[in-house]
Amino acid sequence: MKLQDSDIISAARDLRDEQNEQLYVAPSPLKGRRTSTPLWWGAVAAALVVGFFIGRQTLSPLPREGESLASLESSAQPHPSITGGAGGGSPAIIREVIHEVVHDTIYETRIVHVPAASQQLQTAQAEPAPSPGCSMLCDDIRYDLLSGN
Amino acid sequence: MLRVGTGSDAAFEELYRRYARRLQGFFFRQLGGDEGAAADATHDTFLRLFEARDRYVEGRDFATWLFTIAYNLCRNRYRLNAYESDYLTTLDAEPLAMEDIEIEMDRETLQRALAAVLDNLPPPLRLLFSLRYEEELTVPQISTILEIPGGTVKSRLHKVMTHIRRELKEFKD
Repeated sequence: MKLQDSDIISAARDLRDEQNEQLYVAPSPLKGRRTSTPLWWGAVAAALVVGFFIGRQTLSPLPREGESLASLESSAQPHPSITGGAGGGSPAIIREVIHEVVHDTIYETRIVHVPAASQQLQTAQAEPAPSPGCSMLCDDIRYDLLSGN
Repeated sequence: MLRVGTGSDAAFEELYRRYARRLQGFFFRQLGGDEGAAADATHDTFLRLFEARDRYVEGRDFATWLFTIAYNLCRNRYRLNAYESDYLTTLDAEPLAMEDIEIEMDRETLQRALAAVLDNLPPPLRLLFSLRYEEELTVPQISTILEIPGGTVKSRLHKVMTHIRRELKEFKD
């Protein structure tokens, strides 16, 4: 067949259609740019939620009021500091003792009031009376005999 | 396009859906069949269009505006400015050929031959042929894009077609 310009143009358009059909067209650049921020925020939110639940699983729960008192009774230890009475007199009737309470994961201190009656007994048991010292001039030991040997 | 100018993302998506494949095909043919470069250039064109959305004037032809951006991208990518200018000055100085080049070829052979001939066309001629016959823009539209008179567009198109017929005849012989 003898070629006309219209034949060339028609063939060119057929080629164009074939090539255009085979192309992969990516999504709009604006779409990618705008959606990146919400995806990022979504990832952060998901990480927070997951972190919260993992934290709840691994940490012990905080003690309730009744539970902490019960544990105090079992683990209370007297602290040596004792509050004295006014003007340097006898010790007060009530003394304050700091108790250290250790749970699995929580450390806390509390001040509780206990009767002073038990204090004298505990103090007597805890500290024996110191023995006074004596000079070698008056200890009745004959050092001259020791040096002769 | 006016809706894009007011910040409508949906309107922009609609424009992209309508024109992206066509524009990517245009770049694919202008950039030597490089599909990645064509996709990049398509994205670049739409991003430039989005950035310039406030400057769109009502009543302006959208396809002309779009292909003006695309044409400038092609020129920048191939640094065509100096080469194109020299080539087209020489081309414009040539007289119009009045020869009647007769070619006999079946349709299947024509497709193969034309693909090879178009691949080897000098870039300025390839661009002109593509805008007129593949993208089907009018002479006034091309005149606006290339910033040359309509008469110059017509004479160049005539020379492009003569060049293609010669090449096709050589291909057949």
